[in-house]
Amino acid sequence: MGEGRLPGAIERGRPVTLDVDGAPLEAFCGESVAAALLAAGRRTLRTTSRRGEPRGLFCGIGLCFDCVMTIDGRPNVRACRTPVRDGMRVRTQQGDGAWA
Amino acid sequence: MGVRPLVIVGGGPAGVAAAIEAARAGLRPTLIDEAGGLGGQIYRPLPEGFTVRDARALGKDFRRGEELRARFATVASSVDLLLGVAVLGIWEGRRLLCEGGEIEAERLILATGASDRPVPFPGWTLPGVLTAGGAQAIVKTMRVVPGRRALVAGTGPLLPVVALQLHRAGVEVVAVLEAGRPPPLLASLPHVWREWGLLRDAWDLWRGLRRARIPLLFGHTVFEAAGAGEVERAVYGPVDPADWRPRRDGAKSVDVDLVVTGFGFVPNTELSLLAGCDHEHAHELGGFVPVRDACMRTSVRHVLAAGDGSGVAGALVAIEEGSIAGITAAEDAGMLDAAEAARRRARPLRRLRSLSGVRRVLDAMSRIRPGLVELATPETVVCRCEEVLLSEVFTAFGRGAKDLQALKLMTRLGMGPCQGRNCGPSASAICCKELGITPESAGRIEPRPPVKPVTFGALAGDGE
Amino acid sequence: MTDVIVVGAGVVGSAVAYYCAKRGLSVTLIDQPKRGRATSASAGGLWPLGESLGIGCGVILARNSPGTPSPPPLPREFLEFALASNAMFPPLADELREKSGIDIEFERSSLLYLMYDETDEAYAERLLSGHPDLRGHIEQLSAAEVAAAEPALTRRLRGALRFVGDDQVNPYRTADALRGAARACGARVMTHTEVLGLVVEGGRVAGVETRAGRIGGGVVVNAAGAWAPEIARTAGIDLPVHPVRGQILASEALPELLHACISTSDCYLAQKAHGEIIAGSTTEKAGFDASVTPDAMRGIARGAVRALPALADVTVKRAWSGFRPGTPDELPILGPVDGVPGYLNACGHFRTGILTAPLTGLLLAEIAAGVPPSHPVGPYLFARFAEASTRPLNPP
Repeated sequence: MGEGRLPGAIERGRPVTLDVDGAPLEAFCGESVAAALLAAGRRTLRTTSRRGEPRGLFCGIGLCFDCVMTIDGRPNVRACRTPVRDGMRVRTQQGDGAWA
Repeated sequence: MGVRPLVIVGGGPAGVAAAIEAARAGLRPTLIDEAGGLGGQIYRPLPEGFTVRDARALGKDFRRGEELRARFATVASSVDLLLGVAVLGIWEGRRLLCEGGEIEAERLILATGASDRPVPFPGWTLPGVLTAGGAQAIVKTMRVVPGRRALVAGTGPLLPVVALQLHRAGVEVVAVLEAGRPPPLLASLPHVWREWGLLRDAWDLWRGLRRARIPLLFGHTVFEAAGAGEVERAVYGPVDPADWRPRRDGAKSVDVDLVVTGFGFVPNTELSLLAGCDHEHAHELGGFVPVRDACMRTSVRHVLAAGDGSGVAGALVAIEEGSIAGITAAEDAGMLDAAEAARRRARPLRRLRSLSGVRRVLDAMSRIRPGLVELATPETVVCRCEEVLLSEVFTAFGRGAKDLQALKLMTRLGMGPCQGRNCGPSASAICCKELGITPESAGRIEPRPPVKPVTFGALAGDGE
Repeated sequence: MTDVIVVGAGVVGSAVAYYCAKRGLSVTLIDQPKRGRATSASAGGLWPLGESLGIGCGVILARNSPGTPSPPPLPREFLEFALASNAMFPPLADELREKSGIDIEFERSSLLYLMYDETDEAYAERLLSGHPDLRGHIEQLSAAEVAAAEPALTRRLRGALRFVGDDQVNPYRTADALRGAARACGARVMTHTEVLGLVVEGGRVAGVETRAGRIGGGVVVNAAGAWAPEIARTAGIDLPVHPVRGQILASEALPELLHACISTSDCYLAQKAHGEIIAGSTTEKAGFDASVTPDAMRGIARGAVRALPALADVTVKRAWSGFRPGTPDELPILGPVDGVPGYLNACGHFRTGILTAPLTGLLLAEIAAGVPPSHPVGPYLFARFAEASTRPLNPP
């Protein structure tokens, strides 16, 4: 289940598999990409353009844009507001990222 | 669809309460929220795909949210609900540009809520530093643990709440650092005795922290987060009681992998500014707020505002304000006569008066003091999006920058995707302290449409 | 006491300052940033043929305002002016890079006018028939040729015209580079200083009054863009310059999708050096209201997606507007004003400020130095506005 997930209280959606930087990662429907990564202990989601510094989840509600990653080929997508999808390609974004 | 008689922007406690009262009075509201469900931040519903097994384990806020959503369900057929729709801009206080199209409103209720106040300190951009709101979103809604060992710092009633939520999620909370000093018990009693529910909540929190053996330190805050690429430890210490300036000689270090900061909230005023409402700076309400009367009317005749988006006062106040706004809108639309409207407003107005006593006590403790700006060092990032350092802000001051607009032009502060939400409030505090000016003089990063990201396609809409 | 005071450090003012300083004149360049200044709002297109012939903004206006007469193509002399200024860019880019360290990102993109339907084709035919001598600079492309040249464009078009020699730069950097080079040549630059008015003394304009005090000068050049009339008024000159609002959308940074700049009857598109695509524009009389409007945002977005379908999924990073300094005949106002010694115009550049800045700068420097201008300035003198009046400072 991923050690970061809290058991009990709720039942998550069906399991899906993400492709995170080329490696498979299990997640559950309903989760955001940020939550799925966090559950697996992955906290650095991108590095900044100007100073190459690591950033991750900060505000958690889609206002800070620190959690942006390149998702399904598209850069600058907020991981905290993107629900996971089976087969979704998630890439740690360097700087402004690039379309793929 | 032509002109809608009432459009409510924001589906949190205030917006939902407004929709319920408007619908009750026979005025059909349109309720818009960019999230997929109603409840706003504090009463966020579970994501689609999750099912509830044990509601009690999800906590009080989840239950209250479900109650709110259940009350809404009783009027849902009388409401045009637009979920997953972001409002990008407002013109003449009537024309709303949304993704995919435009909506025209006869009258408007803005219930846009508030966001965490950003407070820069060294290392605050490291992965592992979360705002209190962010920590809650992850734990309560996603049911994911953001770390193993946490330091919770900031000010206000949310801190112990978040600390206990983390604790119950299995996180070891090493301490809760409240920058303010505890309100004197006896002196506070007259203000709060009527709000038994809140008093009981406060007592439960305090007891909960003690049972969990989580130290609660008043007059302290976080000084620094550090680690190789992620949070590995934090430095904290005492602050001056009068202005919260860090007293670094008392600094201590602690190994943690999570720092949660909650320094109160700042109203989301992009839409009330774009709608042309007059604003004033109210420190105790979180910053710039639209000027309103007791019926929730702003300076623009057909625009009303309610909830945290007009002044941070919490969910209970938001519900009462939203109700008043809904009633006033119905009165303005001729669905209620003045006497009936006054009758319906009486109870929420009484509740607001009662709640205001509690707020006064909390404000005394949690008013942000100016010394917090000294947490940042010259190497600290002030604008997270554009990576503008405090030293660059000082250089801009040296070159004649006197307000946020000038800072923006000279340093790119506020020009990133967050549109100044994460740097405006702290940049304002820095200007006030360094230049000896008022927040009104320091100004704002002015919102410009589109206030939320939108694609060319969504803007183009269908029907090319 | 400085030889030349230049009011306004947009692209035109900065160019004037540079060329004056380059000549060895002492220059003071004074600027107060204003919301909606045209240089910052510009897409940076250098489209002498396109703009002169009514492509770019002109064709959008024509298509969207039925009943409004399409702007007539600009007079032949102005096309010459524009082409001459355009030709200055390549060597100027190198010169500026050397003197200021700033790269103005000059790119030989060419400009493609896309023809979606018969109306567009008819418009193009009118252009070509009106200027047979320019056919050498204008290529006709079939739909297949457009698809080969610009694979990212929509296939739903009939063809295109390519204006060879219509290129682009980065407008902010161009102004910055000119300003930096002016400094390097000894000019004094005063930023964030508001000019309150012209100082009239002894029957001539003798300097300017600013919030930082009075500055005396041999000659004052009015390069204040849409705000030029406010300056001129203080010496009794009624400048017929009015703000013409244009709105713009900019995308997030993208990989290279467009090689040429694109003009259609809905919008124009220019992909800049950092990858963002600028889409514009509108031509509106809105006074000095710098807001962006929902109609314009949606209309430009629609036009952009129509021309470049990949934009549908691309985020609009920013929307903004600027005030082109419009004149009654759409031509700039340059040079002296009869009866007002010590004052020179360098304003009213409407749609072609970036493009015509270098030649404007060069000519104004020549005039300021008392040298006969190397290109005819006659058609652009204030004197052509017969109805507009001045109170001569030295009545005959």
